[in-house]
Amino acid sequence: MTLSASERERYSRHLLLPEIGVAGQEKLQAARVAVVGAGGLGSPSSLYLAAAGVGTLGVIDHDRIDLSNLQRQLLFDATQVGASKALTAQARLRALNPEINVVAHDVELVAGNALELLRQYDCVLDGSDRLATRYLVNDACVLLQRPLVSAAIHRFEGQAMTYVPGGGPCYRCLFPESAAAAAPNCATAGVLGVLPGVLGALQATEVIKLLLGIGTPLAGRLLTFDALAMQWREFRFTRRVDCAVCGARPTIRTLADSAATCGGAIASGTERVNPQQLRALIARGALGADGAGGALGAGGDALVSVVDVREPHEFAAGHLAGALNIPLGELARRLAEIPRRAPVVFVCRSGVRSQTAAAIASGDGFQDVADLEGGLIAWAAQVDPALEVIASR
Amino acid sequence: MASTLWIGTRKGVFALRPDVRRRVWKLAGPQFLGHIIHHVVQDPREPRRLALAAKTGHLGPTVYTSGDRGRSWQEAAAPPAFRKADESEKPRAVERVFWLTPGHESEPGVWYAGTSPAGLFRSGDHGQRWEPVTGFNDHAMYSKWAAGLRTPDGELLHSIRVDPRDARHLYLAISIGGVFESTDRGADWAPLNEGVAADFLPDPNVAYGHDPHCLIQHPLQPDRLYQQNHCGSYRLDRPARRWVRIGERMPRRIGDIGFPIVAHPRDPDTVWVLPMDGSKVWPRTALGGKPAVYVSRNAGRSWQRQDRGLPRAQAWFTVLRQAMCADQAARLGLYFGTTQGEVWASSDEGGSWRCLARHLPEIYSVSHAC
Amino acid sequence: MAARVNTVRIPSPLRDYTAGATQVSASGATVAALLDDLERAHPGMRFRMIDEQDHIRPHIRVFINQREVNALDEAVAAGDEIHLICALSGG
Repeated sequence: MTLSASERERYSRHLLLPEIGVAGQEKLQAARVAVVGAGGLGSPSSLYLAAAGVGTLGVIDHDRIDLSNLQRQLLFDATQVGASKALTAQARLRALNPEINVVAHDVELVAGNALELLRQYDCVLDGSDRLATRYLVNDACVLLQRPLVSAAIHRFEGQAMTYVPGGGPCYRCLFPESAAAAAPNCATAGVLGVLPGVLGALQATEVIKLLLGIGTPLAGRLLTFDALAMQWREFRFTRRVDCAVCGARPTIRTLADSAATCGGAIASGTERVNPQQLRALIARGALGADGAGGALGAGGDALVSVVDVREPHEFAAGHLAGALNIPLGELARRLAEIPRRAPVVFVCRSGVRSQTAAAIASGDGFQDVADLEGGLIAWAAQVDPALEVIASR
Repeated sequence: MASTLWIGTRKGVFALRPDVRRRVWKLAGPQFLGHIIHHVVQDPREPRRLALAAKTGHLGPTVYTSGDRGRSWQEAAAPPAFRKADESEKPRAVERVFWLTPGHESEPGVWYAGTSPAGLFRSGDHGQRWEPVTGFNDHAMYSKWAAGLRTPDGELLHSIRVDPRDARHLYLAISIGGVFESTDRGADWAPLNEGVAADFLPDPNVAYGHDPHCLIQHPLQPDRLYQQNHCGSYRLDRPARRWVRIGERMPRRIGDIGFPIVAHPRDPDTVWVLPMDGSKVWPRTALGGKPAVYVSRNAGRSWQRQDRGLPRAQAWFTVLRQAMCADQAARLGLYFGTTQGEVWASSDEGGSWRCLARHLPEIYSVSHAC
Repeated sequence: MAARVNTVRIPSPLRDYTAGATQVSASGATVAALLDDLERAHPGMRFRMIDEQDHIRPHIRVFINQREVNALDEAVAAGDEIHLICALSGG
């Protein structure tokens, strides 16, 4: 890629810096950055990244603009209340810098789509407003080996940190578990409007440094800001060997695992059944017992649908007779294959992916949804030792 | 009238107070905004005293008590906590205090608390300092009775009942684990689950491992127990040991699944349930989106539907086990709160219902204080 | 041994225990001893941060100056600043 004449003029103050120069500006031009959340943090950071000439910016937000957002979310104005944040941000950033490509993702970032979405980007900036999403973004970045610049705000305080692949530590090393739905956000606790401006600009700075490969990233350091005391503090933390996602023996190997650790927030409202309960359901139902695969109930009235959300090779090694195989990653677009008149029980290897599946189906309006706690491992232990359950990878 | 309906929610405590005729109710609060409140309970021995079970997203579980009818609250000096684990055993830490029960009339200041994971705790000083009841928490059978089978909300110890005739005689329930009885102030315990279905277990005739949702003991006839279970509603008249499934007499299409069960404080034969959809995968919502209370006036031999004033359709109420109660009025008042944040009331023993409050946070507990 | 005093920075969810103070003084040769001292002055605070098995609760971190604390028996020197940090979630 080369810079056009207008780009040379637009970025002239960057070009004057020996740390950036034409080569650095071309790196920015070639870079793809995802901004999760077009809110208080996403506003200043995406504006600065667009202005700086980051070639492709992806803005991920499924919310609408609310009047109460305008106190801090500078991407938007009063005429746009009610409009899509992602689309409005796209228009604003394009107006600011027509030389770059801005992609609007007007979707909620969830376990089912996070890898697919974030995989398209070189670097991720997290400005989301829920802890569950923070863990999801962190885990996706660790699994994809993408650098992550994370920040959060509350009242008069802010926190920021950077995850750099290959050494960590990650957000989960800092706060090993999720407070999920329990932690307050700006909507309930209040926030000084200018505070995300400070932290968001800091995040954009980190992203630009990472893309250029200059300076020292905020890795292994938690930076905190107290606006009332006007004090910055820095805390060092190290990678945890037992970190669930970046440790030596990670238990989070898919985003479904990640979602399960954030329980309440993502997989709320659906029931779990144990192997004995599932056995009773199947016995009562007309689940096809011929193992022909795919179809349920072989023409009869199925009283329960069992959907196996493991990968095809896991399914091939052994599965419940009559179960339908839809890998978790495909579930959202293949929901139509599941009969809606019957209750659905999702199953997977250990009962982690199935929780996410149940949440996805429930979110799509399925009324009777449950998943198998302990997964087919528990089924094999308690009901059918002959069932072969192979490792997911 | 100094009558108050205390509402414990996912995000704090609210109070509803009526005028003398229970017509106009005023909503006060929130107190403890942002705190997760599982139970708010008045001490009938000293009505100015109250206790509540709280935690927050960041902070650990605790108990607050009030000596002035809930105007001010003090945190327990030593909240319920398991003893320090030995090297050899699995460490247990209280994740939430879920249930509070005032002790016997003859033991002023005594309270019991139930927790998740399953633990029984006792206080002798109005809820200030709590000690584990080792007779239960360290019982030889503990790991079998509280086997860690978790409901979606975790393993819960609840429905602690103190026999009004005998301070040594206690009942409690564990979801999932069953009903247990002690006759020696909690030093030893035995399961009391005969006749209760456990459809979800391989052997439905097990001694424990059941899922009682709510257990009540009638104050005037303490040998009369009622239980709303995961698998039906039951009555037990001690000294018998075999529960009778009174839910069999409910209309088949309604079934007998739900969380709360409430008895008339002056009539041991009158009991209310709030049926929820327990079919298939247990949606736990009002059947068909048409909420109704069912009352029996003959100890569960027959049931009548009470839905006047409740929404007629598309109202998917879920009412949790602590979220339904009766008051003490001559014309008995009944109350329930939904997970959708609505409080409903009847001032004629369930004959008709009206909504007292809506848009509250998810309701965990509704309790009457006088 | 000479008296030692440490400053402890208090996050907002715990300020009910410090009458709103954002920092308080406490002393102790180890994190555990310092937390005990804190508990004496601000009763009830410790259990909200540390469970009965002496594990720091999952959404709270303790730092000595800039260094993270992983076990309560870690040493505290005179003058060290103790920071209690809660995970923030707002955006």
